[in-house]
Amino acid sequence: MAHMLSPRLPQVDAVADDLVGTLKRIPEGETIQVIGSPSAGKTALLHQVAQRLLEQRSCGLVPILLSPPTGQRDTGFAGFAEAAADFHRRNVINGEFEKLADTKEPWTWAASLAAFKRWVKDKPEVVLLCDEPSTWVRQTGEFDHYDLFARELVASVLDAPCRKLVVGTSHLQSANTTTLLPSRSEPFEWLSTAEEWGALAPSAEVVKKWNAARLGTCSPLSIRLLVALTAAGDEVRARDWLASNQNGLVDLAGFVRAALQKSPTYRALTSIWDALALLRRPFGSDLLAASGTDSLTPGARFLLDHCILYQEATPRARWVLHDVLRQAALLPPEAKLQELHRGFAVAYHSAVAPSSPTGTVDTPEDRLVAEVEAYHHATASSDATTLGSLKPLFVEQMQLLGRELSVRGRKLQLSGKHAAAKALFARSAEAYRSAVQLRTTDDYGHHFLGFNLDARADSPEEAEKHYREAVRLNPSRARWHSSLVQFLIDRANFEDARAAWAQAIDSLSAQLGDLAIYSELHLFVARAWMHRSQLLEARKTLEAIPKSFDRPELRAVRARLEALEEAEGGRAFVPLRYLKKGWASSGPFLLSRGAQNKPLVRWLAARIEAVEKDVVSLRVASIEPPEAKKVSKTMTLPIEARELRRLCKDDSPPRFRAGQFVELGYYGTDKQPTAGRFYREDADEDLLPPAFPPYDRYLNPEQ
Amino acid sequence: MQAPQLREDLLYVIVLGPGFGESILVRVPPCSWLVVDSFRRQSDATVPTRDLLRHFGVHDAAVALTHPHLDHVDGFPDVLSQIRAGLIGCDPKVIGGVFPTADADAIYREGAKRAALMAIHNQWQSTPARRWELAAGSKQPVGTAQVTVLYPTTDARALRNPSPNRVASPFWLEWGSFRALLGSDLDHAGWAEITPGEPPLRGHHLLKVAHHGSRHNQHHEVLTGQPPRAWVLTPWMLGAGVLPLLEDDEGIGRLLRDNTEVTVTWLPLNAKRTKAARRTRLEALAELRGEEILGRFAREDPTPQEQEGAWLAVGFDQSGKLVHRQAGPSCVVLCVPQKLSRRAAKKGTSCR
Repeated sequence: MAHMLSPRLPQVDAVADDLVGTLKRIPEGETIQVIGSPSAGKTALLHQVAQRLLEQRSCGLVPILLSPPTGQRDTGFAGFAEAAADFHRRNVINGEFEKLADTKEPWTWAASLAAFKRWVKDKPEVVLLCDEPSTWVRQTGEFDHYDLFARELVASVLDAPCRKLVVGTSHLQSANTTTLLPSRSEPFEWLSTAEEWGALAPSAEVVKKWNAARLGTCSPLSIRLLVALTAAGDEVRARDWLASNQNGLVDLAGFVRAALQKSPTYRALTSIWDALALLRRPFGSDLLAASGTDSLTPGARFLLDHCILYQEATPRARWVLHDVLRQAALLPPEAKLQELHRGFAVAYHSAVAPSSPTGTVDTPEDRLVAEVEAYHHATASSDATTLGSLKPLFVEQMQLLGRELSVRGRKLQLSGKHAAAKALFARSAEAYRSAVQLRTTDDYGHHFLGFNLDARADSPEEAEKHYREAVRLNPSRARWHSSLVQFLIDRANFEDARAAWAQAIDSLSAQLGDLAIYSELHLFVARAWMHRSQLLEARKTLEAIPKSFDRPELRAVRARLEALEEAEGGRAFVPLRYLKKGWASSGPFLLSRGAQNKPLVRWLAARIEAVEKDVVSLRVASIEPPEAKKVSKTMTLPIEARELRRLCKDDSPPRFRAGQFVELGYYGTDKQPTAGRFYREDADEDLLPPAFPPYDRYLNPEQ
Repeated sequence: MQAPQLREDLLYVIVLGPGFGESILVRVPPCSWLVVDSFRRQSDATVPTRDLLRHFGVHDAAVALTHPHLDHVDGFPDVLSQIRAGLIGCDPKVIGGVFPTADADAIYREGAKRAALMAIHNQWQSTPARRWELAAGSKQPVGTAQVTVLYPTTDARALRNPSPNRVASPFWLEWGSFRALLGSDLDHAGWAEITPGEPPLRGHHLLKVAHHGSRHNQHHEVLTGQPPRAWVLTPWMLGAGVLPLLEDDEGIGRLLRDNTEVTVTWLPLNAKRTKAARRTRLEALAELRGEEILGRFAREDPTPQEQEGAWLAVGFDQSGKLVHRQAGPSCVVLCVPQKLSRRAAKKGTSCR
């Protein structure tokens, strides 16, 4: 049996008492904030406050606890489901929970958000207890459609006209009162309790002897990790961490994981740790078993239960893997990852099944929350069988499933598994299609339905229809325009592409100050034109990008366009990597500027045009003097293969063939070239922005 | 470009060729059209073939791509966007393949080629009735005329990675007694498979000379016959490459051995040197002709605007008689003067 966390967090009890008092005093709409470092006990504090408020029913306050999975694409839905469950559990809402739980048709996010706003309006008794809402939204720095839902949930929670208690690590601007939660654990008595540490008691004893002042400020999690690190054989690093950097809790967790990995006794524990990190909520023994704990030795299991996991300070006493440890976990290999997600999906699903003998979820509220988790894991596993047995609660969950399948399909496509990829694109399209049928005005769904049909490359008319519908429904989204224009260019439907481009520029005219537009629209459209060798169109598209937009991928597209323009003008005498306007003045690229005390006076950039018997026909550009800004003349130069080999010595390729590039140099007063160098035939690194779906998907279905 | 005037009763063959790119339009009276290949004008990326079709209000035509070389495919999607009905001809074997990655020249050419093939593929998929597989023996009506595809044969289609010219598709056009051979860029090996045989190719009234007059793309079974016949070719210029050549046994010199005149949509005389780099093209032509060349374009090449006028339109009646000839301002007719006609096998001359 693992220890309970709360006795090790005495400060939490004290602060909880104060907060309950404050909550009773403050008017509706006010927000109390509690700031504490990671593992200071903030979540435990919320549970304590909730417990106290429930015990003191006479005070008239009803706690609603919101602690959704952090930073996930479905955080919005998961948070809403959790809220619905708690509102129902506390009898604040009637009817709507049943509608959600027994839904025949999934809810839309808009309907969910409107419901949440209704639930908190004119409810003086409600107190929202929010666990670090600043972490609910993914912090990637890039726009993601699904982050919007989490953002809207956070905004709705923080703007709610009821009382709110918010815990977090940083200051919240809208807070009316702020309280600090110190990080303490009173570790000495705890570390001395041999019966609690069991086989780890010697390690606990070692830790206890270290710097008392520093240990006194450690959180319980830090203490447990220090004991684990010592037990795993890296006492030195544990002591160093305590001495130098107590703030790097993720570092400490990483050290522990590394030490366990090296330890023959505990190695198996790391894969369990990695597996449990995939679970987003406190879990019961069924899910713990699904992670593979049966394979652990008793010693490893003891360390898992006592140092890696802890149990909630609630009557349900579910297991918890702290976020810090989740961050230190490694993502299992793809196949294993899918297997784990599948196992967790099945475990969650079994748990909620009313007839299941292993069912551990016995309330409809818990069942609702578990169903969201089951769907999440089934989505992540992409397992059709598991998914077939589940029903999404939200339309957007279906879209998220479509996204996951599509992303996985793309990975398969890039690794050359075209048939498997197409199967996933088909399933993705089906998921989006189901979502679109429920919400016909959803531009996002239409776009990605079109996108996945397009990726499959077998129903272009339908793909185009949905691309166009997305643009019609939301003409302010640059991405929708970008996909449509690219599709039309890829399909060589240039006239329609030009018309769609004009419509895009017209629709987005008010947003052209936003540089993101150029990244999403111009860059990709220019690249698509370029791929179809429509260089003037590509040039026009790039010239519309303001100078202030400067990205490596834009530079790469511009460089490629310059190279292709040289090719269009018949000036492609050097490989792609050197080919730009005025390339002659930058060369020679391989020849030395002098040989045998003679200066280079002229060089030829050449490519083999044809090989016939023993004669190589070179297409040649002459550059004289070597630093000349222009090619002096171009010509066709027949040369004997034997002579070419002699000039290039060991540098010659084993076989001459059309398309190879070579430089020939004239030194001093020599009338003939006396040295030559061939370019290596390695492919140039492609710095262009990724193109997906592949441009030639309709021509080469195998691509 | 200035569009030709078309008489209602004549069959017209309009050849466009401004220096890089070639396209042929055939108007069969009263209003049936065959469009062969397309190109994009380099100065402004417009597609003259599409512009002409638009000018004549043509939306229904048989359109064919003889082979997927850049100077024949560029702008093909724009032509197809103008032509909404009618057959679309292509050898389906040219669709597909791996896209090059490291060679700008290859990337550029392949991009244009795939654009054309994509446009064809789209139409074939959406309207299967428009599919016209170009293979030897395929016959299609164009109004009251008939077009026969001469190549590639089944054997040629089985070749592994042939060059596009090796499997290019020439067309034999019949209208009344009129016969025309549109030679595409087919090479000598291909002609050797077609000739001798039916139809007798030397019995043409009009020949669009294969591959800009290159020696390796001519065949005596095509060239030998009774002059005068209307022969037209287009030039080709890219970087160091220039066609037609002007040597005694090459290009124009070779053609004038078998016919009294050849029309070139424009003649790039000042384009650097001949293949052997022995002399200028002007010198080569002067040597060929034996006296000084007349005409402005012998001294300087036409401007891009003048190149727009690199076209020839010839109108024939059903007996095969050439009754109406129109040409753009840069068109050059190279002919054997009467006094030299006996020596035509060796020498030719030029007159404008």
